[in-house]
Amino acid sequence: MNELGRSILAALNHQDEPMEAGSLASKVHADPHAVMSALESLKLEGLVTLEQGKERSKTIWLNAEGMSYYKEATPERRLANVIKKGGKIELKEALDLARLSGHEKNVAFRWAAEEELLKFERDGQQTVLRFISDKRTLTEQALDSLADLKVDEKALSTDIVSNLRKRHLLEEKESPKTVFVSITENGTRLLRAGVKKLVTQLSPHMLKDGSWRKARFQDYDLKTVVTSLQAGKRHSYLRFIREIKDALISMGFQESDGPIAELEFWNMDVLFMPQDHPARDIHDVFHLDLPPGKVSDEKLWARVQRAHEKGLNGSRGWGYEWNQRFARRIVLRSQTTTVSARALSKKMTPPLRVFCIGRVFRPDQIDWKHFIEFNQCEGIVADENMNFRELLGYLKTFAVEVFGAEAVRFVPSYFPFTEPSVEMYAKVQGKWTEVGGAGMFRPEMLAALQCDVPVLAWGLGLDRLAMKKLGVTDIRELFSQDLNYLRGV
Amino acid sequence: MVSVTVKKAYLLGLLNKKVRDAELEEALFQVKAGSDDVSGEELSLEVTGDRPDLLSAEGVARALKGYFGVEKGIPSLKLGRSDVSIHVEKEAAAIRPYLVGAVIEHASLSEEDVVDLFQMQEKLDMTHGRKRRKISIGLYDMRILKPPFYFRAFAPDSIHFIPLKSDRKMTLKQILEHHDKGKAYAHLVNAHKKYPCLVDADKEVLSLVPVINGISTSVTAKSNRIFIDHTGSDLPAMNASLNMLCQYFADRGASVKTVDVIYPKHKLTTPNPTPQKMNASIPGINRMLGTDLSSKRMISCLERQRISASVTGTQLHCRIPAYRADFMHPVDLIEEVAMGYGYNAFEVKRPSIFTKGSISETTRLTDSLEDVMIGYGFQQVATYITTKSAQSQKTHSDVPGIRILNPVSEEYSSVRSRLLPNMMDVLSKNTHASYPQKLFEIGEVVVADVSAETKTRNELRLCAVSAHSEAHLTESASVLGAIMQVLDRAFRLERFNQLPFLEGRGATIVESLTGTSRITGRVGELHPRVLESFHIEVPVAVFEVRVK
Repeated sequence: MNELGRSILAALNHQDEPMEAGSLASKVHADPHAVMSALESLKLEGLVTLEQGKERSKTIWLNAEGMSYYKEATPERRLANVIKKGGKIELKEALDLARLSGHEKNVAFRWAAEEELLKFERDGQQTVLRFISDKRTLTEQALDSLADLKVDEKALSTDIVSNLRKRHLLEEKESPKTVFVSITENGTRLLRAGVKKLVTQLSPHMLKDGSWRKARFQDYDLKTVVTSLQAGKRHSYLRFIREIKDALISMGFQESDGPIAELEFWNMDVLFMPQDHPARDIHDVFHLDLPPGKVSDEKLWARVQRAHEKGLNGSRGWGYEWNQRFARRIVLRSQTTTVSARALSKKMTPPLRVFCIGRVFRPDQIDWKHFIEFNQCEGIVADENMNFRELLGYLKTFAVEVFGAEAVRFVPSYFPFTEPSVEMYAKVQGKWTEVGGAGMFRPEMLAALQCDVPVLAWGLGLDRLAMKKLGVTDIRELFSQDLNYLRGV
Repeated sequence: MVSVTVKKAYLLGLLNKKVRDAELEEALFQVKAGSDDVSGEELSLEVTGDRPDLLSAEGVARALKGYFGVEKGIPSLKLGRSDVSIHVEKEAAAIRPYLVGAVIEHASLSEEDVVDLFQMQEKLDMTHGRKRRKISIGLYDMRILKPPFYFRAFAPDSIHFIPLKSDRKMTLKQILEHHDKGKAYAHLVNAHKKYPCLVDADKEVLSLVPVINGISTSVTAKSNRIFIDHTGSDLPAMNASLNMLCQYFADRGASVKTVDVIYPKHKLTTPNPTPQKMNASIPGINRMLGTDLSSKRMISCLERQRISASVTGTQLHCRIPAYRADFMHPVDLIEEVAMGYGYNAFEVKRPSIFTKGSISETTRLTDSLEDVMIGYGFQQVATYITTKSAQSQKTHSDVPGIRILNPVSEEYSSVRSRLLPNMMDVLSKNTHASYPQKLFEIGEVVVADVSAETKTRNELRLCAVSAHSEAHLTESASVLGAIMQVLDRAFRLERFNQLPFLEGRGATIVESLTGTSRITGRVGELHPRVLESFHIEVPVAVFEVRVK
């Protein structure tokens, strides 16, 4: 704090009323501008408070045009001057005599009659100007009273100001508000302590030179309302999915993924789903506007065909003529089992534990319970010693350890690609919920994929569980696009 | 799953055993005909797709009798011989190759039974019969009919009869053109010059196959003698279905009689009630189930499932009722053993093998980019992969979405190939929320790729939008810079003076990959016209880039 600051604080000390900045300046014998800037920094340091006076006014002065009218004459006066007192004159002649520029002509026509200098009359084909008066007009009085001064608009009558303003002859500027100053508690404390400065911000410089040791730090006003920043947040449903991934990874599963737009071959035929199966109906799978795809592994293609038509690995097969064209169509995958099938086709050495969480698509009517796109969690375990009891063990482990189920129940089920098949129900928050299906891949499917160990497979729908966990009642809210909701969750 | 409704009192009457609701609920689930609520008078059952034999109260009762130990092993089916024969003519067989049939006597149906019977017929047609393409079932009151019957093809205008749900005679052609059922099933016959019909000796038309029956032979509560026919392409499946219906009537105390089906070159007597024979290895079953069940125990499990079995050495010889249509491989017997044992009776086994878990590359990248974006104060959003195709035009995408041929609504009629259109949609739905709005999505899109097996590939992309009064290119580009640093990818920006960007304020993201320059994304300030089309009233700066 400099000398001026200190004198200001001293001047303010023991004042009962806030002091106007101008009088403060005279009291400390300093330039008002310097005082104002000193006050601003004292305010930042929390040593004074500044209060704006309520009244606000403007300083006005003549602009260039106004000034030229003041120094010479207004265009309307110059026009009126060419008429003899009490006489009249034809317009064209008057203009010749008055020698007005284009703009001046417009101004003269606009104001001459209004200022009661002359009036325009018709005389046959001609327009004539007739003398009215030669007394000073309102504009001329206004120009005279302002002259070359800059004054507060309140110093002049409102007629004069509004006349000049209407005629665009003014420059105007808001005058600074009157400011009233009081000393704060911090300020008096500082004066009392005789300390030089309250520090608002610890700086690297202070740390370097050690001056922080002598510094006094200003108190924060904890009552000031701070607007909180908008934090970026993870999406609640994606976070839920990520936690499930973590749980599966901690159990030793390897994550895999596969095409969203999939060949019917991989989505259904490899899974031993006959081509006339209801789940392959146009009402149950989305077809895409794409040319037919082609399966690169021709031997696999042939084995799948044989599995369907005549059977493989001791099976009778479905006994129909397999249509290659259907198998080449491209659909939105209707289950992530297709990802498991692709994983098995890579002929990795068992033991193999793979999972995939991905979007799957099925036509459905859209309401609070159903949507056409949802997340499925699919996994397989392939090993020599896998069996049905171990499958049930996996399901129970998932339900309890991944989803926090209180109890589980198994029900026989049916999927074209598993046998035995099972459906799991889990008790979550006191209610039984269908969690998903599972089974052991059928021998026809395994033979087509040339997999010679048993494979456990399970597919769980995540949406219903997520609804429970996130307290969502409409399935569409999982993908909510309501920003307030997303920010709040 | 196929839904079917049965009356609880009737079902329990057939079962002839007192059963508490909780027991009944569990039992129904365990025989594959589950119901969420068994407290009412009517039970709505969800029958699994492999068990069409459970589409009637009689069928469910048959399974429950095994479950509760009221009966075990193969249910009996006594067949008599009728004098009815059906001649299958060549032209008709060319359209639907097989016909099987049976005669029921002393049917004694109540009005309610008739409703149930038609329900069963309809569900069988729809599911097991694949909407009548594979199997079509007909039921006829025999009172006015005069055997033998003929399965014969007729020219569309050559014959007429009054079909069900009509009051006037119609030609075959008129039926296909005007009758509701005719229109629904016309596609199964109208590729042929002649249409197959079943007629009796007096040319009375029983039905236009597989479309509709004649009204004069429709089955009612008064019908005492009923003729059942199945036509279709899959003889074993047809025989199984016919057996389901015959077993249904036999369980009700009616007598079931065979008919002779006479083809041009051979003769069949149907139904064929011979149980299907299948062998399974006892150690094989134990290995698959993870159990150590004795052969005796396995046989009792199977008998509970209404399957009879005997044993020699380590082989089980099973006899499966002819009404079961779901045995293709010995593995199918294993599930029957498991069901007979009880799914909830198994001692579950804890996971026994160890492998190392790992996340996919996609997840790893997503994780690290999410951290950066959230660090910069961006809110994560997740949008659907199926989307409105118009959005992509409104944002002037470089790649259009892939069209869905059978969308359920315009709102979800294409597959996204870029993320920006969805992000703009989110912004336009949130103009009431406070600004700044900084959002991002990391997600998979599908882009066309002719060289791929699926003609497409998944692409992982990141899109970030900043909407606030001072949003500008520099802001987006600096976040993009941070992202590319995390990905360890060098890039440069090249001016892109086209929509969706404001002139001079858009750029493509160009990366050098193995010597060639590739455009991997875009960054810029959106053109006011684009903002207007989304009703957004603050500047928006965006970037979208391919991650993987």
